Amino acid sequence: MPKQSIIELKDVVKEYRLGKTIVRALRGVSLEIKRGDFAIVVGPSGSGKSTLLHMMGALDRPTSGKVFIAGKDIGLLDDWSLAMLRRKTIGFVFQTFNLVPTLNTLENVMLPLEPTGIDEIEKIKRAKELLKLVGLEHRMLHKPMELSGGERQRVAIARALINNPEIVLADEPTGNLDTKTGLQIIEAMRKLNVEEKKTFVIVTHDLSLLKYGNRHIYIRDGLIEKIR
Amino acid sequence: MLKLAFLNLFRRKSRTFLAVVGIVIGIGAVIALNAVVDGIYNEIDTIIGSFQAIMVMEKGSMDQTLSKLDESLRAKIESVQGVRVVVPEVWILPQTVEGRTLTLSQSSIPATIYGVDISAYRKLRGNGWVGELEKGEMLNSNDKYAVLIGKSLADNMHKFIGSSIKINGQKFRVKGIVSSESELLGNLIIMNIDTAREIGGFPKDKVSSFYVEVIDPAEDRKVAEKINFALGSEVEANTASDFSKTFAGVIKNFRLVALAIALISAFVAAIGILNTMLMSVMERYKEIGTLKATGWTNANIMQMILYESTFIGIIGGILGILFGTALSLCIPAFGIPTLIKLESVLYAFLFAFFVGVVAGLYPAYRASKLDPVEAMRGA
Repeated sequence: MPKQSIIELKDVVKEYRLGKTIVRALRGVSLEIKRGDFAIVVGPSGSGKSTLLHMMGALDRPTSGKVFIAGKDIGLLDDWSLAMLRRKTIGFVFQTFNLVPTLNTLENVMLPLEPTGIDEIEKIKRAKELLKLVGLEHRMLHKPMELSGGERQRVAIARALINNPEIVLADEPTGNLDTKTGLQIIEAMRKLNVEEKKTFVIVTHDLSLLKYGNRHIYIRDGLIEKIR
Repeated sequence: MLKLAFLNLFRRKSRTFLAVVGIVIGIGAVIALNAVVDGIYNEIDTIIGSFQAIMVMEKGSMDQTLSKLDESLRAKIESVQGVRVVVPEVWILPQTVEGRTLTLSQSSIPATIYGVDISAYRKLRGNGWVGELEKGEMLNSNDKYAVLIGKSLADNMHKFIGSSIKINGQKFRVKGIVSSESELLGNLIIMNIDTAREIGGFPKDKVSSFYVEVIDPAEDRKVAEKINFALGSEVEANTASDFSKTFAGVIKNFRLVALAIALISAFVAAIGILNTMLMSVMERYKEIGTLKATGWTNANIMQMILYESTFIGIIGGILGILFGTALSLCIPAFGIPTLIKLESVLYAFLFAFFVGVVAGLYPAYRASKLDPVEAMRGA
């Protein structure tokens, strides 16, 4: 049975204004991400891969073209609906982890649930389960400053999964980690892809990560060069 | 979210501290000013409340020490229907007490000589109006060089029954000590009216005022009108409630000044919070962008920033109340009465809360409107 599409981009153009110049970050991108994919987007710096990830994560709207996430056209959604879409459907992992320094590991993982009406005991239960899943149950009460880079990224992965999203988008998740730790992180993500049936889209300039993906998307100068 | 907002205040402790100090000073000043206004109001109100009678003075005079009337008016007042007792009195500020000139720098409430027709005063209901005789005996008409003194004066000058006190160079024997809730009456020197005229250089046939006790206290306004009608345009008869009204008008102006100071301090404190919160938002662009990426709505972000500024207001308000209360407790040492009212404290707290909320609105709005992508770039 063919896999269903979960993200679909049709002729997406994204332009930015930088002073008086208009920069075309994406110049007519069309692609499809299917449920359960572990897609790796590779391309050199400035190729538009982060912009592409922002489109797929409903963080930005296209200048022209259409972006569908879980069947919803994000160009037609207001700010609140986009936030709700991100809350329910998407988890983000960033290169610089973006953890809140004043909160401990457990609280950082629970952060996306903070504005929801979910019961505190339930939030703690879910966060603990996820920390166990990423192997950090013994570091729950530590602040980000007390964790290694790899541990911080695993906290960020747990945070991305707390809302039980269908899609996890990762922007250079190994960029700030040494090779060994980076590979552990990618393997952890792959495991979640297989065992938890999550769709992963990972943006990287590290070609060695390609071997982990079932789909390889090459992007250059704002255009899809090839998809394998 | 409350915990996160609270912890965020401690990221830049010194900056938060300075914003809180702004509120503390503002609220402290407001509490202390209100305590002074309420204290003075309470003081005067106690005096006014201690006589349920009519005060007859020269028209247009600010108080009894500036009023002069012919003593012959006594008979006319006594003939007015409804009048029970008329007490002629002279009010004089002494030049020296115990050889010392009493100035405002020594005491904000100076001693005052109250010369009174003793036989008339003794006819008043109860023990008279200037206070309860705590120790000693009441004066008689023939007690020429004997005085009753207020408790505050007795305590300050270490006087007791039988000790002597020199007023304007004349030696007097302390015959009794009078206690009163009022600080002003607590500094009173009560003596025979003729002696007061003699040592104060007051004309023999003149009085400062007449204290008029009415038969039915409920009819005091009517009796005062009758006196005004009978005595003509140079005399003014006022009831306790008339004084209350006049005084309330004066206090209202003081309150307006206190309010103006409160508003200025609130504005300064609000600018402090506004600056703190704007800086805090600018430093946390990336974090705010991340929160948005994880599904926080604009309203959630706004709520978090507003919680932070409101916390500054609340903490500043509580510390400001403590600071203002401490100030209000110290001020009486300089002779100025204070009274801390619960409602003043509550208003001050609500005020601090309100300043916190209002000052946080703009930074919260700015944070909520940040584009998540731009914010995560730290732009």
